[in-house]
Amino acid sequence: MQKVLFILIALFAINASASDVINIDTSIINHEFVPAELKVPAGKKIRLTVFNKDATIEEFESIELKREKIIPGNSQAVIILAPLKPGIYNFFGEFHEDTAQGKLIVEENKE
Amino acid sequence: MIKIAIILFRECLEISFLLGIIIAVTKQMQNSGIYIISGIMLGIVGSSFFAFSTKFLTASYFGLADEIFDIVVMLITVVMIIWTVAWVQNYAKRIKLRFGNLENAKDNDFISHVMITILIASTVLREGIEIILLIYSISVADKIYINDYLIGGAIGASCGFLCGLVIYAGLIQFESRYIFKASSGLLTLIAAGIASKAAGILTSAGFIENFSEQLWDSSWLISDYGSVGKILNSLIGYSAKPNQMQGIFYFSVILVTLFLTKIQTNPKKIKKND
Repeated sequence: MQKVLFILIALFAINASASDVINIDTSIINHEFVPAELKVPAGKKIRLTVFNKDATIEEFESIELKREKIIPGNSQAVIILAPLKPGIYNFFGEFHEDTAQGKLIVEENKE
Repeated sequence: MIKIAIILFRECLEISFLLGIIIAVTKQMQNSGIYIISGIMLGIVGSSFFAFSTKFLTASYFGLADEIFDIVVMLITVVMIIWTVAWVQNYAKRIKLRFGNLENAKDNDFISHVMITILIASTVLREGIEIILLIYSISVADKIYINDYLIGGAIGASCGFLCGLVIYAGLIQFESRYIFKASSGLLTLIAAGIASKAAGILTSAGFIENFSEQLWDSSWLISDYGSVGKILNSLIGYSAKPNQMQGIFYFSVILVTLFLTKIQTNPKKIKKND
């Protein structure tokens, strides 16, 4: 029971700062990420939506971001990322690694 | 399709290798066969169920449903492995003291056998969902390529299971106590790796904000992208750039398991008590 409560609270905490979330998206078309390069500012929560426009299933995976997510064909998935430090975070499609490659470029916050 | 064959080969090898280690470690328990098989079947049924509910889950819970599910399954697996490793230490001695001989334990030791079933089920569940979704997507692909995919997939999967079987058969050639110690140790590291992966998701998604600084960078030694790095990653959860929470989870699992094992092998506890 306590675990469920903790999870619910965590979810609310994440949603609470909804106004401070950067929304970005990319699509999978013909086993490639379009766009392949995404730029976001550092220190902000990120809501990345991946639209899989292919009929085939893909797995969005990133070793640097420590995340992976299955995205069925003709479907989309949302990946929520905690604020990141500046740098380049590579991601790829595990089932089509040779063509599905992308980068999340996190830039210094200039504000 | 070579790509599908390789992916399914990798996934199936991982599962069968893990199952082989669990079987090796629980060999002493009588009748564990039935429980292992039910665990596998439960895992397959569970995987099928969750694979097809993925479509509906993903949109809810602010896009974090998948992550919560993964974390829960991983942590259950970790707890089950820790319990199993601690439980099988000195199993023969303890059971003989409690039940007289191992044969009696067959009918009386229900709970520990059920734990094995749950362990196997959650192990199969982790990889199973991915495999089932992959197979399902094959059936949706263009009719022209279906044969290629099916053949590639079937070859990959059977090669994976075969390799796992061969590795297991090779392992049990060694003396029992070496197998036992080695598989207990390996299982502990496997559990630590799974826990560290769960920690990675927890920090990456923002569930945990503290202790998410990078601990070290060992990519100069073993890169995350090379073959060795990838194998070590699936086996014992190696990461070239782990963060603090991953380190905490990893070493906590090892320490807890060592501690529980020490308790189980404590001479005082082995003495018969009422």
